[in-house]
Amino acid sequence: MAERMREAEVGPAPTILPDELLDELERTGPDVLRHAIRRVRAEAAAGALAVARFNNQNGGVPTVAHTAGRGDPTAGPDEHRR
Amino acid sequence: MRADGPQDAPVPFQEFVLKVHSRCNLACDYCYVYEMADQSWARRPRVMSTAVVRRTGERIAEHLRGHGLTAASVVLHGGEPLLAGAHRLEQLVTELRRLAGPRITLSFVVQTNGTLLDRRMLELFRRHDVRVGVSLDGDRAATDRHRRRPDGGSSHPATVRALELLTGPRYRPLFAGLLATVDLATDPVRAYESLLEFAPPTVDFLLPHGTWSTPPPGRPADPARTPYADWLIAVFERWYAAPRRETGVRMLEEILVLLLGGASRIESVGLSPAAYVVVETDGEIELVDTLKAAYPGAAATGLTVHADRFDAALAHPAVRAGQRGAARLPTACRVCPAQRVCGGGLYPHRFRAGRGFDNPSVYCPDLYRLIDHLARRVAGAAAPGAARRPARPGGPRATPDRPAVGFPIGRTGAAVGTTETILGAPDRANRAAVHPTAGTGEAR
Repeated sequence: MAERMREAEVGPAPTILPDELLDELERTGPDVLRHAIRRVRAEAAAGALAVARFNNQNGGVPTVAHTAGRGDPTAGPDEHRR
Repeated sequence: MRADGPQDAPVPFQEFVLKVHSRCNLACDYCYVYEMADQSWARRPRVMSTAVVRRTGERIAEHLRGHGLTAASVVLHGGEPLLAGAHRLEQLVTELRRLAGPRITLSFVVQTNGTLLDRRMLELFRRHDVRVGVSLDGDRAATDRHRRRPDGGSSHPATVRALELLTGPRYRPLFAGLLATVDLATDPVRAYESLLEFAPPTVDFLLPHGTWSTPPPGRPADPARTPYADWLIAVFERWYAAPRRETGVRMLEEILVLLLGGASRIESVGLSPAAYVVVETDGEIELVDTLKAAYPGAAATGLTVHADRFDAALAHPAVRAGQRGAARLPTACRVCPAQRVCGGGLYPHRFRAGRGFDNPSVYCPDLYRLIDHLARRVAGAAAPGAARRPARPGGPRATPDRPAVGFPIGRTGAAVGTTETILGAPDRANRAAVHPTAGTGEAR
């Protein structure tokens, strides 16, 4: 429960589109938007807490598997996207 | 952070920014290290000594083991880190990996101006799997406006030569991305396309550092004017309209991810906990070093790798504040509907002499306008039959007290294409709080 509360405090912002629309956009949306949707869904499925990196470097996609703040591993993507 | 930790347990550091050299061979006029409030660089050793490297490596290993982590990033930074020389950089990488031991993976990235990036250096980075990020503002004209050598000469040809080497087949896997600083005098699309010529895996456009006391160049006092948002929106439209994703544009991508319900990986937007720490050449442990734009000593913690564990830095009030999600927002931002996406912007940009950091970003109107624009584009793409509808020119301009139309952030499954507000309307009574300079003419 504590992890869930922390996730709610610092974790992802609430989803702003219903899943049906995300599904549709992932198929037909602009490519950069499709890429963003895939990332959001992959990170939600992984359940890891994203951490902020130092801005004045551009190391690209982090290679570190950030496992801190993992919530209930059985929870689905929707629960993590609350 | 252990999964079974208490709710307010700190998030351990997972990125270590090492100032391997405290000087630079360029004299960029916007540099926060040399040209802004803090001048502590002048008293630092030029280069990180072997003893400091070893102690830092021990502290990193101690921190990661203590928190049960098996991986972290190390950023070789400066000044210009390549001034440390190939031999010293190789020693550093080797020593840190040795001290970390076989159970911890350290990923290295170096952020360089590129002027010293030659074949010898790239061979070293290839041998040790060090990824390379390069700073470049665009084409020669754009770069020459700010990124000059101390004698006034251009740095652009040397950086381009380095990028040509780096992007060749032998070294391309090392290429991490490009960093550019926004200059309102540069055409945004030209800047983007000139960077795109190097086919970078990612680019980012950084807002030049400034505070309410020393505003960024061209950031007007009038909150209805948003020159930085307008610049970034032009880049966004060029990037968004491409049939295939040509590269990642970090800040724009992070905002899209936040709008879609994800979490940011960078400190300039969103509310993800900051999980990195800076070590200076003398071993001092510092907060985010861009705080040097605010006032002398702003990044100091009073801690050093010689005497202190990184856990001591983790307990520092400023680090704790940076990990507290919405609780770290400036008071005025707590009525703003964009707060979870904006996150109050980059921390140094909130500073105002006499009032500290409890202010919205000096870029508040720009951030709001940019976020609102991207939210509209997502909403537009989601509207039936409108997935590729072009941006509507001349649409209403959103500001924090005059949001645009769409669906509200924070309300799952809200109707799309309605007249509901995308960002909602902040409490009108708090308008002055959202716009601390509105009507004061305080910012230039």
